[in-house]
Amino acid sequence: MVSSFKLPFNFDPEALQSDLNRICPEEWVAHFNRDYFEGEWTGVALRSAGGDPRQLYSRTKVEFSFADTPILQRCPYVREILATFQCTLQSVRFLKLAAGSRIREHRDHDLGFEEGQLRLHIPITTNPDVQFFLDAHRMEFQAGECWYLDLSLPHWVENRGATDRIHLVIDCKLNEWLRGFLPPADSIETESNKSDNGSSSPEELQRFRQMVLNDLKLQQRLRQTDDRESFIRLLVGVGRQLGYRFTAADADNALRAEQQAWFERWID
Amino acid sequence: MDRLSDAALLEGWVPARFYWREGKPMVDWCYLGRQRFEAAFFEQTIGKCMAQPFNLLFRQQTPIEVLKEWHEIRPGLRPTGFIFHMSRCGSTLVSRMLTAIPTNVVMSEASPIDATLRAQFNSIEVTDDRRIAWLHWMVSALAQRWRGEEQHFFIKFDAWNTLELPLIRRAFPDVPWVFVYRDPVEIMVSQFNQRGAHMIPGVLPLGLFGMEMQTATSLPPEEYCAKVLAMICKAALQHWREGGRLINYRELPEVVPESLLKFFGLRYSDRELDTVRAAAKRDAKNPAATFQSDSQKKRERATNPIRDASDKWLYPVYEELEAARQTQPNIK
Repeated sequence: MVSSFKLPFNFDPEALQSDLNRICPEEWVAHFNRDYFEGEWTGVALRSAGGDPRQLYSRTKVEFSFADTPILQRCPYVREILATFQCTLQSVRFLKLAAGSRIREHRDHDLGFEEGQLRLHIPITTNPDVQFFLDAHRMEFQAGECWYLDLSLPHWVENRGATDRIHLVIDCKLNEWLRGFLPPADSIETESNKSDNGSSSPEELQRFRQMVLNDLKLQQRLRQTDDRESFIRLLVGVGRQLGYRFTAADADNALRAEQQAWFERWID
Repeated sequence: MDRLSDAALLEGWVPARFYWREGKPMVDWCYLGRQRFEAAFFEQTIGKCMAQPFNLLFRQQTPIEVLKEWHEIRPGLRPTGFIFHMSRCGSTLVSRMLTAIPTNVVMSEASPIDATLRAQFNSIEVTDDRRIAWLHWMVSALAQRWRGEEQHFFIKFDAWNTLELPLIRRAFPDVPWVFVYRDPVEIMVSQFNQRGAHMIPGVLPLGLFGMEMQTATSLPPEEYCAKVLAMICKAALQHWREGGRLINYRELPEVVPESLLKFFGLRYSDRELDTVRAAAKRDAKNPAATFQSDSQKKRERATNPIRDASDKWLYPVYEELEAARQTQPNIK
């Protein structure tokens, strides 16, 4: 399944900014996932469980349903954007990652195409030093774009720039209208499933490993994720780009063998 | 990698293992990056690194000569102090307290150091001079500034490395060291609860303790353990006047802020000393628990063979250590 996709909408970043200007500093509340971030990660709810503007949690308990918050009334352009979406909207939030802050690598397991729940990101303010890595691939967003992101894959964000990064984040239910804008499921072949159909060649992986040990830039690229599956996808992808044809299964076997060897290192 | 073609290739890498392959001494390097050695033991920090898929697939493996090249380019910090000990005697508490100061690094029972110190059991060609050179290189590769803020570097050796005091002193004659010891019965009870590597005949080369396998295995386990522990104490007793200082478990934790830091030439503000004291409030090997002296409990659990072996082999040398400790000058 595709891990990210830019939808064919372009919104006006300046109009979004003028909505943002109607929010007071004290209305931003800290994100509830305090274990995940360092620095300042805050948000304002425009739609939330029970309609509370301080409720950033994007799921709801049964007794609450999603409702617009009073803040949405102040944001005419966001209301206009939301009216574009012919599907059930759940939470809608502005999320701000302040300059110098970081969201550590994690997965949001209940989000994803298969769950019928989609999260869309519309960047409002960003800077070139924001690093957004999804499944070990760096994402590049421009203000006003609209992105579907499969956040059940490992992802992390670091704002190394001098300005805050603010996205409008919309959670919605997948329906036929929305599906019409997305590529058909399984239409995009990922690097790893392509090479799985090729022939296995552990020797190619071996040569690739030797090459990487002499290349600092490649090492840095391959250290982008600690998640095993996403590391394997990255490894196979980088290998293919450089003409090394080994499969995800080769990488998986090599990891297992090394793990075994490491556990048994005291046995001579 | 046989030669270090580019110094930047080892930036952020740490020797994780020293071993022999086809008769040649080798080093395995693991990428550490800008991490701090803050776990109680070296192996825990390395283990955490090795849980990352990158580190499993990409390890630099070099002959020991690359350590020398690296040592010449990046000599690292000079060691500030060494910790020797009997095992199960509070040495981990000491290292924990030192680590409470963010600019201190303690290499705690690092296997690459231990393996370097016992290289003579792998090849008869390894002379003392060889080992001293290798030890210098290994220590300097471990004493890098991983985060950039490190200022003082300490090594807590494995208990049995105390027997190598003369060689370690030859390698680092100016480095002050302490020997931490404890009432023998208390150590024996702890060891018989869960024995360390030096307490089971054959896990370490028996040559370390000058014993034959047959002698070692024919001894009752209590006698074997007491004899090995006594050897460790004797080594400390024999050399303590050469830059050493004796610390009894009973003096912990207060002895650390009161005199040990000064002995290592460190001066700290009252606030920093409070941080050091606060670290003692946690159990050194299990930071979630509070540190409490468990001497009474341990003594009550001593079996007769443990008492007898301790009386026979350990109390005489323990008394000598105690007498020597009383003669130590106070540190102001």
